[in-house]
Order: sequence, then C-alpha cells, then structure tokens
Amino acid sequence: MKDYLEEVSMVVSQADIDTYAELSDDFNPLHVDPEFAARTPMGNTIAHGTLSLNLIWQSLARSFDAATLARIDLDVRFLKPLFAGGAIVAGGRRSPEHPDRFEVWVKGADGTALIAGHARLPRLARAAVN
Amino acid sequence: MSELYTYDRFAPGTMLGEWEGAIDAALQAKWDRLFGTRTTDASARTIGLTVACMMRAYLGIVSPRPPGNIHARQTLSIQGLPQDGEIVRTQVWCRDKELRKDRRYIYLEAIGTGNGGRPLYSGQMSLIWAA
Repeated sequence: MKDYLEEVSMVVSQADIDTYAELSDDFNPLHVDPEFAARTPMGNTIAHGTLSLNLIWQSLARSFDAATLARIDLDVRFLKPLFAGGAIVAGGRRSPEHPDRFEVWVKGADGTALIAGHARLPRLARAAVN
Repeated sequence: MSELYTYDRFAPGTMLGEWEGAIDAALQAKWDRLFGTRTTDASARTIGLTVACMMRAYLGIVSPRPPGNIHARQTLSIQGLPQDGEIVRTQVWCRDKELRKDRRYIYLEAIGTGNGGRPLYSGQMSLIWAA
C-alpha cells in the first residue's frame, strides 16, 4: 500500500480565484476585490480554502481508485491564507498507526503548511484486514 | 431585502434552510479550467464539485452576509458521490456559536442527499464571522 500520496501543485492566480468564486458562488470581497482586501489585515486577496482543498482531492485521486474514494472522512484546518499569485503543493503521508488514515496538507512555496489535517479512507481499513 | 446575517441572528440547533442544485456541465467545465482534465482526476472533480455544492448551499441560504468572514476549519464526510446531473438536496444547520478571543465563531453543518434521499455528504464549517 502507498505510504505517500502523489503530490499535486498549482500557482493560483487572481483569475483562478475569480473562476472558483463563480464555481462556488463565493464572492466574498476578501477573495475577489483587491481594493477591499487591501484595507483588511490580509492586505491582499486570498484564495478560497476550498479551492486549495481540490489539490488534496487530486492527490488522493491520483493515488487511489474511485472505489476507495467513494467514502472519505476529512478534517482540515485552514491555517494560513494563500495570497493571489502564490504557489501551493498538496500531498499526504499514511499514519503509521492507522492504515486507513493519511495526514494531508497543502503547503506554500516556502514549505509552510496552509491547510493541514487528516483524511480517512474506510475502504483501506477493510483491505488491510482482508 | 433580507436582514443581514449577523452573529446575533444565528440560533444554535436551528435549520437555516434547504437548497437544491446539480453538478452540471457548466460547473464541470469551470472545474476543468481550473484543475485540468486528467482522467485520473475524475473522482477529485466529483468530490471538489460536491464541496462547491456545499458552499453554494451555505452561501445561498445564509445571505446576505457581512463582508470578510473567514473559513477556519472544515470537516467533510463523503458517503456517496453524486452522479452527473443528479439533484443534490442540502440542508444547512447552525450547530453552535461562541465568542472566543474577541472573535465570533459560527459552526454550521451542511447535509447533502441525492436521489431517493441517499446520503451523499455532511460537512461542518467553522467560520470566523465578521459582524
């Protein structure tokens, strides 16, 4: 069984953030209005956390088949913002104690974790038993 | 115009509303534009669009909102994936709220079902509310 998820990376432009706003109907000005964002403590527009989360889904999908991904329990924290124009990489590592559980993350270009948590794939537990 | 959803307006334990929508070709095309079209990403696309449906439900129901809310934490349990075009019905609940370190936290849960009421997902959002 895989111990590491395939890494997936992306540079997230303001245009990408605007497209994700259309996808999710989330036009929070922190994401799409540079003038508004400049007046906040953020200082600049940030990507939706659930945009970056897609790279974790891709990382899982490139590591496991569709049947394995039919059941997923995910718990993540959005730790730091991803500013427009930033690069990210998503990946994961299997828990040594729990074969059905992966630590997952999205990191920025400097290696700082922006999103971190875990994903449990219940089908892997059954596979380990069988 | 509806009343603004401020922190004071949320009542823990109440259902805030229901939303219906489908993962259609237009949403799929937007996802592909953002994340590519690798065949191995098919499950990622469906899960990602399911999450987008959850966000659409929350944002459609909890509206209008004060600008500048922050999504702090997300749990998601996928129990089944929606088929192309399947209507996803989502209930959005307020589960709790609290003031902590001068921040207003709102805890919402979205529960999605598909055809015949089959369970698709439940997701819990922790949000830092702006006002």
